[in-house]
Amino acid sequence: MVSKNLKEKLIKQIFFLCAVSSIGIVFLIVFYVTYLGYPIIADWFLHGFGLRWSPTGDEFGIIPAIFSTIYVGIGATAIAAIIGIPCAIYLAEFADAKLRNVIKPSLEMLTGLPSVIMGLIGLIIVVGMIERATGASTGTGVLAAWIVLGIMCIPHVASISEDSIRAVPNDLKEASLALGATRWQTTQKVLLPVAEPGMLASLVLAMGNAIGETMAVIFVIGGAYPFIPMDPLAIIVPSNVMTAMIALNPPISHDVATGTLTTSAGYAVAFILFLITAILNVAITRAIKGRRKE
Amino acid sequence: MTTARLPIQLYNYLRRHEKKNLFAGSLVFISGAIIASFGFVKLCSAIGKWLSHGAPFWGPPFSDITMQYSLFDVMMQDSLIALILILPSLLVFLVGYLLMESHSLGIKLSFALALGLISLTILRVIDFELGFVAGLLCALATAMELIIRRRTGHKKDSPVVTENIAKFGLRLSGMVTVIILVGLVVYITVRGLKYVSWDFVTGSNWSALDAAKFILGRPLNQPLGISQFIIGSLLLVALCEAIAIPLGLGAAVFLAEYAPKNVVTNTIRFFIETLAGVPSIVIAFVGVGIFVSQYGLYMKASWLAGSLSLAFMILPWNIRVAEEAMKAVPNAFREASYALGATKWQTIRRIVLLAASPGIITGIILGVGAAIGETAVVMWTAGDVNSLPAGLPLTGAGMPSLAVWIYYSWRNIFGSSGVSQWDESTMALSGSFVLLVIFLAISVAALAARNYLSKKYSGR
Repeated sequence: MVSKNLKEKLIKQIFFLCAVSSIGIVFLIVFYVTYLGYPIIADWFLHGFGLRWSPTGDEFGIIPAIFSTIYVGIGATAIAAIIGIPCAIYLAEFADAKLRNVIKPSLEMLTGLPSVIMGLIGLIIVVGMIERATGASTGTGVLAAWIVLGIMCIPHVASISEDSIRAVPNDLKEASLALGATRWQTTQKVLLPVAEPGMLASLVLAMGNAIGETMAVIFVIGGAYPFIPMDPLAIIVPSNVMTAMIALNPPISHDVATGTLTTSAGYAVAFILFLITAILNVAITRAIKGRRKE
Repeated sequence: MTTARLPIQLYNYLRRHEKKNLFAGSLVFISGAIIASFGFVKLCSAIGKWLSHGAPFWGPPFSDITMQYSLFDVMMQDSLIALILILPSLLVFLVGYLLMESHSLGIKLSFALALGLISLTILRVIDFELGFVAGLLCALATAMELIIRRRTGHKKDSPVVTENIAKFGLRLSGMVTVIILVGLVVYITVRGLKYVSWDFVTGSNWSALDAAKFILGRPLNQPLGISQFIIGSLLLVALCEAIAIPLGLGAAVFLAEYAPKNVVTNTIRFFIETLAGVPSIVIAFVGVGIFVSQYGLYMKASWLAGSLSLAFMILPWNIRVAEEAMKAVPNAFREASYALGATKWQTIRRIVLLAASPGIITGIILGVGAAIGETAVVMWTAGDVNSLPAGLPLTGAGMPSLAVWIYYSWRNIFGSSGVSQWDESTMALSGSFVLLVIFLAISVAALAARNYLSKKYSGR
């Protein structure tokens, strides 16, 4: 019996170690990003974050890139929300079961659609469309990134929001319908307030995806030095976001991290990206908890 | 009836009828028709061009763009524009309907519409004719509606109208989503099928020079093929899952079955969520640091380095799907097992894991689909080579993968060998088509697994 107990305890410890491993991975990520990005991160904290990014001139100002990354992320989330959330409500409440059984699995499938394909199609269709519609010499820029990332985020938003609407207890819905409310009144007054935390979470998640997305953006953003969008309507001008910016400056040549300032800058930007996504994660957790308490 | 009496008659009609706001509504309808006709013209031009190969109605002459885009590309671009233009016009029609039914939302929306259209025109975002005429009509409609409201007094909104509008809008957004997704798949299939053949999928000879020859139709010593990229992708994901499945399952078992409600568990959960949110490019950089470079394990870009980095990305997903599936297993199953004298581990192994297997396996297969298309993580950690390394070593030699090849095949591998940009994109899209087929096959396998296993184990 003792050995059986011991075995049980041992197994529990093994599972605990498995669970703890992700803490280890996160610490490993933080350690390497700060370790290899240290020269630039230290420079940022000592001499300010800077306004010009120009690796050839050894200038690594990050503020414009942060601005344009968040600008791109917010726009993409807005597009995904405008189409995705009504789509979720439709699927959850108004679509008949047959249609839903076709659309829902395909939405779930398409959340994993390879981003390199989206980037390629975005470059040909979206950028080409913008060029021909506006007569601009190049259609790359924030607008193209909005559209491509927005389309990429629609399945995420629709799928998760739909789940959270369907998770609302049926009693609430039936009580409302029994009182003579129409379907839409029920949805608006009963289902949506209850499902709101989940829908909010899906939007924050979509924003995190949009900010962290590399391959789709790298095709359509234009690859210029990032700038602060002083004129918010200058969206058909080549720009850059943090992910695409560092993906174009690989950290290795001949399989060896070169240890130059440019490499460090890549890791330092990765550090900022990690911080932003971690903050979004905290926000999402707080938002859900706060709403649940209400 | 003389023409002079017409306004009076109309006025009487408006006073008598329930639908007081016929005027305001129809004004908005007209402006909607203006915007819609713009979208419709572009849609027709797209279809017409597709049918006749003629000149486009708008934009630069067609001969200028054939170098870069094919007819099909142009048609898709036009359809996207038409979609973008028709959607707001539908909104305008909606406002027209609301005004006619004298719904209180109509006046707000038409005011916003007028303001939006006119300001967009002033900012030169949209055409003058389109924006100004439609905007002024909307403004006029708003004013009329205001006057009529002042005269006749407010009425409560009809819930039926609200319901109709809501249903219409929701159905529309569902349709748009489906149209976009179907359009994506159709586009890749039509463009990508050009170079896909049996030889292309099974051959294993790839170089930039041979690819250029292939595109230009010159003879090749060996048929051009991409099987090494497909095999490389599968090998990378297989090793990645061999690491991530045991680890993920273990973590999920702990969280779903053992974890007490305390700070430690909450911390673990928080870190898993954080890991799930880490951008793939950050994982790529860290993977290079830890596995590839001399600052870490110094494996060079290789199979193991790529797989381990992919495992970082896929681990939180595996944990999440496995935990959710295990939590969905009814407690009665566990209690029945304990009542028979089984230990906790026996219960988990023989009851919970089996009952949860449909969810777990489906989730993991979907994760495989996502990992196969991942580019950023493997492009430096597994390298960008054109053939499988001899003997498939774990470290030291680069591993080819399909997604990375698509990325690089677009980025100037052909140089100045007389291959147009359009041919390059066709080649990349052929690869995308193969990747998409693999991805869809995996996803369908996941659905089939879910159906089969849930029939077998959970009796549902």
